[in-house]
Amino acid sequence: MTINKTEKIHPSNGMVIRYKGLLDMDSLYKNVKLWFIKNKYDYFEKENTEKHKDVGINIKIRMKAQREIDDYVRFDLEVDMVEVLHYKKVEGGYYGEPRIVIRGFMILDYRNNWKLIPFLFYLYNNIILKNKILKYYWPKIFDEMMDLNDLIKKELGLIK
Amino acid sequence: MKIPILTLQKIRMDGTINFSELYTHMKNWLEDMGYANEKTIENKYIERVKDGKKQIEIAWHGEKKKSEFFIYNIDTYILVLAMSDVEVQQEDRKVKLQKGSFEIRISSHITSTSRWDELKGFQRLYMNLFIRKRIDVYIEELYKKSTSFHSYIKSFLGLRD
Repeated sequence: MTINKTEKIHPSNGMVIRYKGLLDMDSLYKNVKLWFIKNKYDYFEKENTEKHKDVGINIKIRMKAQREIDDYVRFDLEVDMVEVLHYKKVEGGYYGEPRIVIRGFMILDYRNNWKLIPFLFYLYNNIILKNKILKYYWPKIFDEMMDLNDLIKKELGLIK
Repeated sequence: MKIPILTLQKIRMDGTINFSELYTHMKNWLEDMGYANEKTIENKYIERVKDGKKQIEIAWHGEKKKSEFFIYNIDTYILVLAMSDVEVQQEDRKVKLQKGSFEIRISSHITSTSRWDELKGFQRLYMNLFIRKRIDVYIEELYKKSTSFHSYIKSFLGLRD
């Protein structure tokens, strides 16, 4: 396994959560954002869209957060509420059909200091730092991504 | 030197809002924070009418000189599609609002002044070492400022923040 500049932590299509039923978007949004802040991530909101239709509101929110672990490694986490369809008030709360995708990335040399010497960059990642990447950084971001996954599932009332 | 902070963060709302109020509030925010003045803020304003519906494109560039070497920049791009006037009953009176698709994109970055670009040799090296920490402070400050502008627009549109 070769370690590249950007390492995907998630499965190829991301961790997908689909759900139809009662949900509280305000609480979901607030708690995910709070999770990023609590875990010292810099939070960016790439998109926040609402379309008001007769059958309810369609919502799309794309969250992105970055955390600089040290001078060399940065963790990027993305939560794409790709589509929350037919969000409307019903008896007992709000109803919606969300599809949420979680992605995690580990970015090496995010300051591009090794950009001009790719061979040394390769050696550094795949020989010198390999052990630390696989045994320290990788499990750390994986755990954080799973923690975020658990939080979202908990918010939706799904089995963890 | 250019340091990007926010890159085209998108806010979109398909529905009914008071567009002229949104326009004024956003502009006032930038002016109040010292990023622009009435005469220089607007780079583009295009309005087209198709089948009785308006399409508007607006581009603003706001900047604030932070020090002799650095400038904060906030760019705002507004795109409105299929906008038409509608009358809505609010309590005991009728209010004219606008219905359509409203999209706002916010970007921010830090740029260096010509004085910084003119520095050479040891002077530049020294300033680079000396100013690095200060740049981190500037990045954080502009990040907070531009995300608060982003939040301000979302709260105006009644979106989650």
